[in-house]
Amino acid sequence: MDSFFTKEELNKLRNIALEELRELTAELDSVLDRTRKNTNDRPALEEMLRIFHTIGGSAALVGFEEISEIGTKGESMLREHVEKGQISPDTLAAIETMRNSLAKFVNEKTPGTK
Amino acid sequence: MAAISPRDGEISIEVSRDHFTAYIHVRHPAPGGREATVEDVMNSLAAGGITHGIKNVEKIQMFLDNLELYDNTLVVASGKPFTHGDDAKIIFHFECDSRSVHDVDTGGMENVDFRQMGTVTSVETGDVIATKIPATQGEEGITVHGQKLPGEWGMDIALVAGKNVRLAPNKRDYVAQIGGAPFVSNGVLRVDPVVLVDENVDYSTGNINFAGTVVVRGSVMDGFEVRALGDVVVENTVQMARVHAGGDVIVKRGILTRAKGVVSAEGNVYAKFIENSIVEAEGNVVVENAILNSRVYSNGGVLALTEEGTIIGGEVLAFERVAARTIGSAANSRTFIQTGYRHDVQKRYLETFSRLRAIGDELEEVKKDYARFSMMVNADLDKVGAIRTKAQKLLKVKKEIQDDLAEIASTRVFNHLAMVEAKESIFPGTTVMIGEGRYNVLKERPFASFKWDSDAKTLYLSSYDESAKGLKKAVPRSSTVLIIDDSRSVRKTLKLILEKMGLKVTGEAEDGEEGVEKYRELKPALVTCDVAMVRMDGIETLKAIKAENRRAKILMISSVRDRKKVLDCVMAGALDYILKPFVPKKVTAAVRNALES
Repeated sequence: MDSFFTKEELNKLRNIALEELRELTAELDSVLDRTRKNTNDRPALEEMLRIFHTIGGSAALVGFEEISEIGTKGESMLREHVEKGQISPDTLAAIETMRNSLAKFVNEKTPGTK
Repeated sequence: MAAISPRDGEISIEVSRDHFTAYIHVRHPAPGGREATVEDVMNSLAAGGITHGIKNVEKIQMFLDNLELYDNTLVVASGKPFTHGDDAKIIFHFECDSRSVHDVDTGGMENVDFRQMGTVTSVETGDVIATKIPATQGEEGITVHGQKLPGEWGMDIALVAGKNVRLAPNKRDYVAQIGGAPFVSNGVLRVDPVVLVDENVDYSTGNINFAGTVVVRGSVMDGFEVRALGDVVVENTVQMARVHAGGDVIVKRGILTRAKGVVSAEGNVYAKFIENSIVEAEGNVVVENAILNSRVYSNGGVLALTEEGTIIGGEVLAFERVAARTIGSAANSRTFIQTGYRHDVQKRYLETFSRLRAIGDELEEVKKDYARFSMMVNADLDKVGAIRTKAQKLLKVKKEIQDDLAEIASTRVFNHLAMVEAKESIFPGTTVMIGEGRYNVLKERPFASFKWDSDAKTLYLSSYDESAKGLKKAVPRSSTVLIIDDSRSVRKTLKLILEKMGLKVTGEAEDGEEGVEKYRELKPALVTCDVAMVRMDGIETLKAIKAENRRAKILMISSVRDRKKVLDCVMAGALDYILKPFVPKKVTAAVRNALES
């Protein structure tokens, strides 16, 4: 990917991806709230699955390997639960850990953020 | 009856193909079974022969305690990949001109610094004029199995010790065997004895014929001749004169022989401009500015690729390639460009062919005369006999010319890679011939590139994959794209790739519904569409667009997990698919194939 794009272009794409990841983290927070209140909220689970799917795809494109892995793992864990229409407490806890890793990554990579 | 013990947790090992990474996968125990332990992991690694780069026990324990988080898989050992060594390089101990810096093939000449061309320095007998720094070997690697792998060697570089240069016993130093001027051309280092003409070659110097390199600080004036076994370097111009070099000819200003003189080289010819002249080169002809109303013949390439590079009028023949910023002019100057044949062979072929045709015409006339006279009642038999004798002689000559032509044709090898390029424009009035193909340019063509397809026996004209940057003309509909994807990051990345291909992204949509609306409005040549979208997924979007236009060209973008859906899309009419995370090369190939389909 690197040799196709110039350094400036790659930086620009990474900034766009970071912005998108920030928005997805915020969406994930909102969905997690709903899921904590009701672990049988299937639409919320489907939305969570979509968010992790998007995270995995966007991050991989610009070389954010660690986040791409989180996206793929989250998606993989959620598929089973979406089919059942229910999420287990362990899985919810794991998702929250992943959410924290994602937020930490975005904050660290965004310039000017503490 | 003995009880069956429940299955304990299981460890499996996977090693990457290059043997530098090892993974462990853990399978949970059956109810009642024992969880896998660090000891189990270490035993499995030992059994698999994995001995190097193993993670420490604490990390393995953390993994076993948090299997869900790691999706039951861990990189448990990492080897050390081997590295590549440094490439060999040549250090020149004299001031080189641009020819030694850039490989003199037609591909590298766009960046030649003409101001540096023809720099002449002086060396003494015994001087080390160049030194080769050999390639090095990279660091050795070690696999997870503890196997050592040697580092890769860097690439070697070839520099031949040419005339008056010898390679020292250390095989690294190149030593001058005479005093003179060192030159590097086409990968050969040589030292030429040099004769220096302080001003012009004119009546004060007479003609020059030298078994070395000739440097003329002024011009070569009308009616004079310079011949050199080495290079000829002219600081000013070549007027109506003859110049021939066994090496290269470098004319720092212009060649203006007014079609009376000839500049020729067994190497390359470099000039700032060529006007109304005849130039022949066994190698390349490279100009900084223009080739105007000249006859230029090369058995390499003819290039005018710096900013003002243009070819206007005259004829240019090259074996490999003719390339310039512009070819022809807005005033429709008649310009003839031909590539694919060696110019000397082609000239002989065409001349011989002309002679054959002329003989054929003459023979026809003689036959008519013979027919007329022999029909006469009181025909003059002597005259008839004379005509018959003449016809026989002409037939004999015709046979000889036909044999000549056959012999030339056998050496007239066609270069299938021959091409003609106009990096900016080619203008009406220009004729391009490659092989048997002929193209008369009737309107201005930007970014034109001509190639000959021997199988189809067709001369192809195509456009360059130039960036859209700077293009002010309207983009044809045939290169417009609509991107449908719910990820902004994916849309922007795809857009950048497509624009670098010279395509125009006329619209973006976040979901299938918006995508179908935009398709109706924009009618793009191509659509890229994500498979997994929330509001109207990829397959529904595809079907809806196909319902609008059954010929719509659609590429699906998907992750590996959606493979089944992708196949469904292809069955529903998608042209192809691109897997995420996508690689630009694969995107460009898929898009090109789709647009050409």
